[in-house]
Amino acid sequence: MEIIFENVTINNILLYESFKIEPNKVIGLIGNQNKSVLAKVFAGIKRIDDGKIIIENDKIDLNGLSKDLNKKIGVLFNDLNLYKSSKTVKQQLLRGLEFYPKVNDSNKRMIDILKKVGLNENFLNKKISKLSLGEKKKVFLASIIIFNPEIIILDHFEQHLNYKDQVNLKKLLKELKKNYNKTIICITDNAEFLLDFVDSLLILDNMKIKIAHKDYLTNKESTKYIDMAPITNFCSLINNEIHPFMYYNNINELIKAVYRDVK
Amino acid sequence: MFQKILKNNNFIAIIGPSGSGKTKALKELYKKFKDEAIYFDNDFNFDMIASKKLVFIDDGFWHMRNNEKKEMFAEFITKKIKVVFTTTNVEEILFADYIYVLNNCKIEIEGQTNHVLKEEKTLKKLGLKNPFIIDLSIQLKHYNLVDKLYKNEQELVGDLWK
Repeated sequence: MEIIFENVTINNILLYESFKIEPNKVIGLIGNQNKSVLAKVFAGIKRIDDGKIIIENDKIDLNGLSKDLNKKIGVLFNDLNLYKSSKTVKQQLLRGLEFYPKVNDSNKRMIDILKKVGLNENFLNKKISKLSLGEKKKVFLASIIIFNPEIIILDHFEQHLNYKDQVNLKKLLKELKKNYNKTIICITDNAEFLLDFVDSLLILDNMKIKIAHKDYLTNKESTKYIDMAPITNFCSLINNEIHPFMYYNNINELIKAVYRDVK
Repeated sequence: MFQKILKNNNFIAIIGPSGSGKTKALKELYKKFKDEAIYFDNDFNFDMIASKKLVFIDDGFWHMRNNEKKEMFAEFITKKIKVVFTTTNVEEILFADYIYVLNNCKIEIEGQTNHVLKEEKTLKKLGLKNPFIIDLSIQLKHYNLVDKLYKNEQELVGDLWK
């Protein structure tokens, strides 16, 4: 789904002048301030002050989100208070299913979705509050995917997930983009998470949005907003201290390149 | 046993896959030192330590830039503050002197950082990975390009291209 921003003002600050997010892309949103506010707008818990966000035949404006649009957007927050829910996993998933056209076997759908996020059906009757933080996040991810939104927004969601869970999350998001045509926006301070994953970047700088190519993550200028991924940092060091050297996203390719260069 | 480890080490990290019991373990350790320690749940703020010399932090550095973390750990050393922390960010374990790796609420491996980081296969089996520089050092060692594990990128680059 294409998303068009037209002079969007939030907290009385003009944040998003006219630009658009192409459909079926993964966008990384980095920057200094107010990134998370966008997630709140898409979740319908914060209103914009002026302008509009056009999503297909619908829009987000001063009145917030329409009910139809609500069903098309899934937002995942890093707000740890959310994860103190006293609901069971099943109750949380059923809440998501309310937005989904009637399924014959909701139990099967819940189990299939849990599998996708790396949990098994034994989790259905467990209380969310009793799970580990990583498991809670998987449940909330499942509760979004279950109603098949067209736009998925993750607000620093990969935080507190260990390496394997982050890899699985990226794999799942790539699959959702490729096979299910989702538009995905990742709001994050984690360059390593975005590497080999995003199609392009949005940079929120001094209350203004800029669009950048994904290679910006290898640009030293990006450190104004985000720490470079360790592998990028290492390639950058070789560039600065030794000689021009290509940037790699994959450690195995980096090692081969280092071997060729050093030998 | 933990008391001895705490005596001999300044920074102790607890890591493990999701559901391995990191938070539970941290809370249980904190209970034993409650009178002299302070606990932070996912959001660490240095200014709130007050005069405590022992701090327990549950994955609380996620909002900090790398430079901020380095400065903070330097400050811990200056002020002689010991820290026991859990983390899901592999790069943060480089700050630790001693590491516990948990799995299913049990200790899978423990030891000084250099010892634990060499247990590449066990860490991989648990879905964990080494910090980038350690991973890189291990693999470069296989190619006989280096003969030790590095924790400093500058030093590694310097030695590779000397």
